[in-house]
Amino acid sequence: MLLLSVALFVNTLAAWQTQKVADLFERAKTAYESQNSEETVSLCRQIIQQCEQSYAEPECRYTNVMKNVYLYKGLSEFKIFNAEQDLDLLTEAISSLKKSYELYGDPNVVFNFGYMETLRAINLQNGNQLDGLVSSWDGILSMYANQEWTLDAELIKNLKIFVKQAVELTVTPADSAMTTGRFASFMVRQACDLAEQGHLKQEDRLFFNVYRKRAIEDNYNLRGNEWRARGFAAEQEFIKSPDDYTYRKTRSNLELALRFSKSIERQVEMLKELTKVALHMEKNSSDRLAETELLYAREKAAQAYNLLVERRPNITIELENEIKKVYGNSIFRLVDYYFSLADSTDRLNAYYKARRVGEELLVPDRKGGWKQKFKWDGYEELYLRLADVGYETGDEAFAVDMIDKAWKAALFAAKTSQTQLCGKVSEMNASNLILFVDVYQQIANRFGLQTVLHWLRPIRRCLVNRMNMYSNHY
Amino acid sequence: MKNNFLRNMMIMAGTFFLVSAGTGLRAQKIEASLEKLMVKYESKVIEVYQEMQALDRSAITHQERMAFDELLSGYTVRVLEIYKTLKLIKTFTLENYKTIAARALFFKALANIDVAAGDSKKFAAACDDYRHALSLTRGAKTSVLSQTLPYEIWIGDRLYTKLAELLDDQDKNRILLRCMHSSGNLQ
Repeated sequence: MLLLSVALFVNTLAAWQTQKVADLFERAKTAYESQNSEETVSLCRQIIQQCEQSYAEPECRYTNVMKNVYLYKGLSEFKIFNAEQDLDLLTEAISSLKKSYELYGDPNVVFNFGYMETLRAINLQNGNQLDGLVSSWDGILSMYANQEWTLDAELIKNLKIFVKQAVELTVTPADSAMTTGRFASFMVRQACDLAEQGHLKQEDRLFFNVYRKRAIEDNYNLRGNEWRARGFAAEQEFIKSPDDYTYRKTRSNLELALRFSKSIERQVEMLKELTKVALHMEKNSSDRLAETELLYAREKAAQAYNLLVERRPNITIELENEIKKVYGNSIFRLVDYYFSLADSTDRLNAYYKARRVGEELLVPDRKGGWKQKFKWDGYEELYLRLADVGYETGDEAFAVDMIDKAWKAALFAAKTSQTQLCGKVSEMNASNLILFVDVYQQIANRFGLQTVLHWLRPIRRCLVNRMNMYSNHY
Repeated sequence: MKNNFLRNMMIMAGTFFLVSAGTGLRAQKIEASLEKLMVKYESKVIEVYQEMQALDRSAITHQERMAFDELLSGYTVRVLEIYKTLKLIKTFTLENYKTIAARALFFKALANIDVAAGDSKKFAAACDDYRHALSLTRGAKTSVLSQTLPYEIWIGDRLYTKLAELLDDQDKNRILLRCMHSSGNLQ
């Protein structure tokens, strides 16, 4: 009798100490609704522990209870993760939501754990963990089906989250990005296809248009496209304030875009941008070595031009002209740089260096002279500078050849001819052309070219008259 | 009294006719939208398969091909769900629905063997899908493998218009064919 009383007492005590699952669940629900994450997690853990016992209470077998226990636990763990940024909590949250999904296939839950898996991959900078994207997409398609194949604001919001994550996952740094980006790119296009079936607000339409464009450009190279977009954004900032930091940021983004480019078209474009950025840096900043920037610009521009010639990319005439312009310009600036060094350092060495650089753009013209490989906007300036080099080094043939080409190129650039010079040339063109005539006269004087001097005199007179006429007029 | 009774009967009959016609129309509308969706999801299966084949076979693309395989499975499951729904709501199932479901299963099987690389579970799943596809189209006038596909499939620079051609090229080790030998007969 005594033993029976003791056993009864122990049993009552145990029941008093362990609360019922139903009560715990109610408390967990209240804690979850009042956003008390720590308490929710603790109560849910208590429920799970109690349910693991051999004689579990009936609530442990109710799907409606247990799917919510895991759901509250997972979502609360995620909230704590957001505050503490502890990845173990995120992993815990994912496994809780997966369990909830196993019990009851709620599309919202699969979307959420897919989102969390991708978030973890982004945090770990592990671009080849694509399971999260697959799960999120599964959730989105199921939600779409649940809503009888119509899109509401919530689903559009989820699609935007999905697209952003797909992009973010692909742009993890190069060393950890272990995919080609094709899958993420494909998923972005799938999301855009689905979004476009609904009535989108103007800003949403723009969002999906932009991401679709990025995804389909350059053989669906999302990673390259994203670096390109970042490169261009940084370049704009750099043009506004050309300091060392923005320069390095722009260059590294563009270099990554170049590294991940999958088409020759994209490669030449990125090489051209890199040249432009380096030339801009050299021109606008005093805290870097000019020669380093110019050599870098020349190298990138030469690569772009070689690709243009050897691989014949399918690019616009504008882009082709721009590539030629930056190549020509980088050579001209380097020639000019070495030419300017002649005052302070070893004169002849500087001139020969300038000539060697300039010769990179020269090819034989089949008349015993040299001409530039291609015409570019400003190509007369390079001829003029090379003529100066020829003059200074005493190379008559080279100097005369170059100044003759420079003069013709200057006339071509001014859209005029020698016969029209005295008739209709603007003040600006006249003042520009006179520089060429001066150098031509200098060279003719030094090397005793009397016929040239005889031919140049009336031209110079004409140009001076045109300039005087304009200055008197004002 | 008799007139009233007749009038009530006529009203009741009219209402019954209108309700039946309305329900019938609604059911037709649902069927039509499900059919459209089934075709759409089948085209997604093809799209995913083609995209997957565009990847080089190297270690760097393995995870992506796995992800494509999962995605393709997801779309196939949806095609099969719609097929099952149509089978439930219709008194007889059109040949066309079976063919669509079978084609989706063939692609799933092909995608599975594509990424299996020694994974026996994947091979088993591929075999199951292949058998399921064949059983769905058993009794068709022309075998689904020999039918001309309603769309073009481009893999690399090669165009496929029949599943049989695709199967010959993509399943070079005859894995799917051997599934049938091992199982003995169609399920």
